[in-house]
Amino acid sequence: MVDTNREEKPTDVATSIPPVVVQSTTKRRGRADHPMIQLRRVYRFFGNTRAVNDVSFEVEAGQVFGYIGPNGAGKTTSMRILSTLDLPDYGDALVDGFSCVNDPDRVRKRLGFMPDNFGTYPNMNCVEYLDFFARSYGLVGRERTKALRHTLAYTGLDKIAEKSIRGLSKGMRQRLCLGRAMIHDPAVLILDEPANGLDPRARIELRHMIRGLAADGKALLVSSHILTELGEMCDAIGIIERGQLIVSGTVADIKAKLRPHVDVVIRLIDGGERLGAWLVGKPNVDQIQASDLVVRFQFSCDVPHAQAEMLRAIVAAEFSVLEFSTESRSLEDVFLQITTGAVQ
Amino acid sequence: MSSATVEPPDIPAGEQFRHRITDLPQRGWERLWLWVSERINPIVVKEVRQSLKSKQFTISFGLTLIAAVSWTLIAISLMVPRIFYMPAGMPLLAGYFCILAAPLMVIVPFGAFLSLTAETEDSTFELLSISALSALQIVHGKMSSACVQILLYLSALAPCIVLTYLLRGVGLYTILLFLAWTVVLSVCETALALLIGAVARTRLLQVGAAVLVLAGLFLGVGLWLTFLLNEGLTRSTEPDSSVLVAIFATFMIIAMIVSLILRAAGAAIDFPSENNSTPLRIRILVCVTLTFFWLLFLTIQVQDEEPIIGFLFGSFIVLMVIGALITGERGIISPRAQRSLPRTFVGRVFLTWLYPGAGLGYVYLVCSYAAIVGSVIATEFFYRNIFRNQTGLSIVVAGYLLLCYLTFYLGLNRLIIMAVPRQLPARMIGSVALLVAMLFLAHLIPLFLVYFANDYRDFPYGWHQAFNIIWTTGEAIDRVSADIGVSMVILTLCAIGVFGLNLVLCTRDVMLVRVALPPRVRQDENVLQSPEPVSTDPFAD
Repeated sequence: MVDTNREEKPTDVATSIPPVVVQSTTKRRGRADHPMIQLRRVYRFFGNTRAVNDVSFEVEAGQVFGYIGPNGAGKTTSMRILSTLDLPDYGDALVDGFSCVNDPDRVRKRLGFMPDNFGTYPNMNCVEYLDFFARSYGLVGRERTKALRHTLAYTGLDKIAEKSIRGLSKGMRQRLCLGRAMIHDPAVLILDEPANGLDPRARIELRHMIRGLAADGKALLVSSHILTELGEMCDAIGIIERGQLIVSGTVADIKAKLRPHVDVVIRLIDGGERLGAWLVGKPNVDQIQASDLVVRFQFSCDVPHAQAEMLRAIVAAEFSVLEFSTESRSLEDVFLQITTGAVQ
Repeated sequence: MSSATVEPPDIPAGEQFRHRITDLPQRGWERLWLWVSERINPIVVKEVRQSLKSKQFTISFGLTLIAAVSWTLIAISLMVPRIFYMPAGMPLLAGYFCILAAPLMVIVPFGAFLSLTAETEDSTFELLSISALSALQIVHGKMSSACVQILLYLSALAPCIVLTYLLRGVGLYTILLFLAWTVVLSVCETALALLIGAVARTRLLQVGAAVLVLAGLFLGVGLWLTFLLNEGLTRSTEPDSSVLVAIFATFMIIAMIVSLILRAAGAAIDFPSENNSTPLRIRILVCVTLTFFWLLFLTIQVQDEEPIIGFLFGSFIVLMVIGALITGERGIISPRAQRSLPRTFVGRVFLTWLYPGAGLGYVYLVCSYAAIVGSVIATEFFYRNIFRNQTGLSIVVAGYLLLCYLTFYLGLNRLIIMAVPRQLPARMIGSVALLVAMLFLAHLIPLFLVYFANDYRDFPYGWHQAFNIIWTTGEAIDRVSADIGVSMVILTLCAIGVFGLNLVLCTRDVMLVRVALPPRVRQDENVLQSPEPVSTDPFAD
């Protein structure tokens, strides 16, 4: 399911960076016969507020699932339930097939959680901090040292291993938190706003880390407000508002469901208004806006072959076409269309 | 930003990095030290590392050393020239105990309290709780760190204390005994501070709790030093065997109580579906049984029944307090706890009462106290010949009355608490408050009514004071009158009624049966228990 549904990422500055091949210290995981993350009709009430209201979704191994929603939508609450920090009032959350309610100890061994706001200890440096959590996860001897070395190198903290945590920048703290979450090589990672407060370079690096972890077979649930980031790194997304999961699926599927047409823009040397008149009544063409040099219209057949046919017909009709382009919708457009911005 | 200016993220292969923490040591003793450090609680390692860098520890340790050295110099200079021909150890020792009491009985317990509450305040508690550390390990880690600090402070003053022995005037037994008591009190205070820290989870509660803990610690150190300087050190003599046994027994009981407190602290911060009731109730049982057996031993030694009556009262008060907390439980046996419910009929009859739930806990406490009273009465009859000055009837009546009171008051408390919605916060504190209010009313209302009816004159004991625990039990111990008989009948009927009603209402919990392990958990158990590791293809996708 994961690989077949993976969306082709649009090319931009960020993706022009060569993909990083991450050499994991652990063996690549085999696919489990069950989803690695599963929410089954989860409800969570705070007084009269339904923070999470009948939310269900699944994340497979090797998949990055983007969890999107406005502030107060219930993202963090769902993530806290999955991380065994909170209990659902109804329903269950499962990690690697284990119930977060009834088997929290087994869930914790398989889960790494990076909260939005994480705490640090005074009088500790990065390596001591990671060492403490490695010991807390029961890593000893060679296993512990190997995990520490790998995590420090992977997160780029090896150069500042001796630096006090309190003196770290926001980006470095985020890296440290990610390192803490992955120190025991969990099968599932839950990252709450991991890109929050990061500079562009750090975001790009983080995105590569996340893709690297997914390539290693881990299931990742990532929430973020930076939708362009999510659109580029996620295999699937879920949009939550007022506690309810409004839509979930691959980005391409959701876009297609929301608007099954593409916006076509044609730039010409001249004769734009004539082209506008020519387009009237043509199949799959709607909402024509024409000026002398530019013509815009909606083409309700999202198949490249049909678009090519249309271009061929226009050129055959002897219009002086300079540019024929389609405008794809961003995840932000999708988000704005789906959500109402209402808070509870 | 153009694509040409952005470099790929620098993620090295991961094996080149070298650091003293990430490298395995080569030397033998270092490897042994690492092996030990990896087996002890990680929180101890973390806190020792932090303490070595912290100003707070450096200042308090430094001040303790300075105070000890200063006191040594001042005291010796004041005692010159007597110090050459007269014993001078005692005043020096008293000073050292005063110096030692400050870090051991204030700084260490309060530090442990702050350490636990800071985890919540700094948002590190959540990171700890989702690690593989259990709640009990977290609490034990904090306790162990406190014990390491206690050892460090003791080691700082050890040379000074040895000096007091060399100066004569104080015996080795006295030095060791009071050092042991100071350490035991420090450990008890730390355990209590951790319990309070674990319960106080909100900012407001933490501030209130900090004031309470600090006040309690200063009161404790004040009382201890007052006792030590006025009576303890001066009256201390070489002990006989029975006193040594009593001290040993007391330390054993205190150790169990500390274990109970730490388990309760662990339960306060544990995941809600975890079954903490069973280990807590087992510890309560062990505490009570241990106390009972040591007391019995001493009673046979001293041939008096007063300690037994004292024990009955003491255990009654302790069980009332524990009962007030238990009856405030939300009373849900989680599916996780149901997986370990007893399977056999006999197991269910005897062990179901150890499982979570206010009703089950109530029955457990009543049965425990009935067993204590029964054992005491049986022992009393068996050893009748050794109780020479009493008939032994007072123990039977007092024990029976206290059992009725426990059954009645806790049962009534549980019935009232059942009407309170389960989601309401601070149910346990509410339950304790309710019991205290109920006891006040049950004692004061009949007392005032009869006093008013009697034209504000003194009046003798009557059956209408049946619910007055102190007066009724005191009267029963002095002499068994007709009014005591009537009170016993009233209390018996009330206790049976309340107990029966509670028993009926906890039927649902009793009828719960063990649930099977989910297939995924069973699968995981099999993997964990398999002797050989499952072979995997490292190149498989």
